[in-house]
Amino acid sequence: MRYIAEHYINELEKPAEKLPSLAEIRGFFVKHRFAFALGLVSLFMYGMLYEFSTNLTHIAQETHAGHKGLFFVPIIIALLFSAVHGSFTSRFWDMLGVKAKTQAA
Amino acid sequence: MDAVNFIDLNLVTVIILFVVGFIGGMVSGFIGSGGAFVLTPAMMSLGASGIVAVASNMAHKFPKALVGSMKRAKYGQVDVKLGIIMGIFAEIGVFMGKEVMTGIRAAYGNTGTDLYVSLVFIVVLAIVGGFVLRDGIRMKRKGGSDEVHITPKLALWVQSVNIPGTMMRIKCIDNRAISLLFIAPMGIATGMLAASIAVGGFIGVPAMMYVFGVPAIMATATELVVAFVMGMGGSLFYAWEGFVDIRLAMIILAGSLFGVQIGAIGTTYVKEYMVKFVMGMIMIIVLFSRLFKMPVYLSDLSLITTLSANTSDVLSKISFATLALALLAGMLVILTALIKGIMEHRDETAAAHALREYEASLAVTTAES
Repeated sequence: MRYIAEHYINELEKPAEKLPSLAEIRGFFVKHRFAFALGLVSLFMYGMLYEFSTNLTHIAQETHAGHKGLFFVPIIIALLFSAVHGSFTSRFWDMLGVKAKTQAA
Repeated sequence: MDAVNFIDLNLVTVIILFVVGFIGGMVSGFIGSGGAFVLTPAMMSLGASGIVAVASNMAHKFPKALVGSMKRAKYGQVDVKLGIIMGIFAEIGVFMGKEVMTGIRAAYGNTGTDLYVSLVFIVVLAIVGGFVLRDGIRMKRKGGSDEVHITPKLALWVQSVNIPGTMMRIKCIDNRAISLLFIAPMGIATGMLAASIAVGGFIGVPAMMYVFGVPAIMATATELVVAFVMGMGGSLFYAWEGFVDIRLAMIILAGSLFGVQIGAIGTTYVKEYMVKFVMGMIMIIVLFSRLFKMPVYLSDLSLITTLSANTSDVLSKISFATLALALLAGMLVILTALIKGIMEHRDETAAAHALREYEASLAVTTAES
């Protein structure tokens, strides 16, 4: 027990953590480069969604009015967005260190 | 044909939708079923009509179900055959449900669909929310989270019925055979509910568990396959009619995919009864949110004495505030559980590590002496 208590005291007495060095920051970006790339692609896609939002509601109105040529557009958008944004978000929390509980050994 | 009402999006509504999506996703990741029972009412509270809210919700859900089912298939929790067969029957149900919705819209306008969606919500949430809370309380009394799977009596009877020419072997119930005549109505009911409120799992999961005897964990995983098959079909049906507001769906998706991960991580830190409590609590609060809005719809359809504009406004605001309360309460409980769990887990791991070091040092000292 004493040993465990000492472990905690040592933890408390540790000097404050230093700011990460440039190399460490670079390492972080390199390690998670795929997540960052996905994030950027996702952001770009949302930018496009904003840009073309009026066209999208127009397509829906047209489809409702009987011009069915582009009715599948929302479905394609849904599939694309969930694939890209889904892969990004699953890496996002992992990158921040929020992970599922693993069985303690 | 009249135009579909799509809500105007400004910065405030976009932020609200993102946050609602995040919390809805968190709740759905935590309780393991679609957060659509939060998202559909939320979209309606922001001004989307019932039919657009349901259609857009389906469009954001089915690709998520695909990703989720593929993940859980890796753990061997999915019965693909049962999922696809039920999904196909659910498709028929979705088509029937959509016909009901478009029929109501044609006869009573958008408010008609609002009233119908809210009514189905209130009935379903009261029944399912009540059951879930009762289960949670029972589980807490027993003190454990591990339930041994016992095949329910109804399922034993269903498994014993043999109707030649309709039997289908199901892998996840020890390869026993079930008649398609039982699977069909359950699938159709799941689809009809999904087309009405965008959450079919409230029928699909209990049906698989209690009527077919599928273990809970496999039922929820297989439901994802059903959700994908019928969600894809349902979205196509609704998209064909031009009711999908893809802007709404994708903003909600942006938040919900962040939330779903956090919710799923959260479950690994809490006991199962906690999950049921949160689920039941949110369901009951959402139910009240819809209940407050009922007089407004009834009055708009002239089914009761017309309410003054002021009363309608106050009731709409109370309904929205109640929904916000449900979301915030859910978020608070889940985040608290997650943070507490992570910290406790860290302490436990550190203590276990220290103990191992201590034992190792003891062993060295003994060896030296």
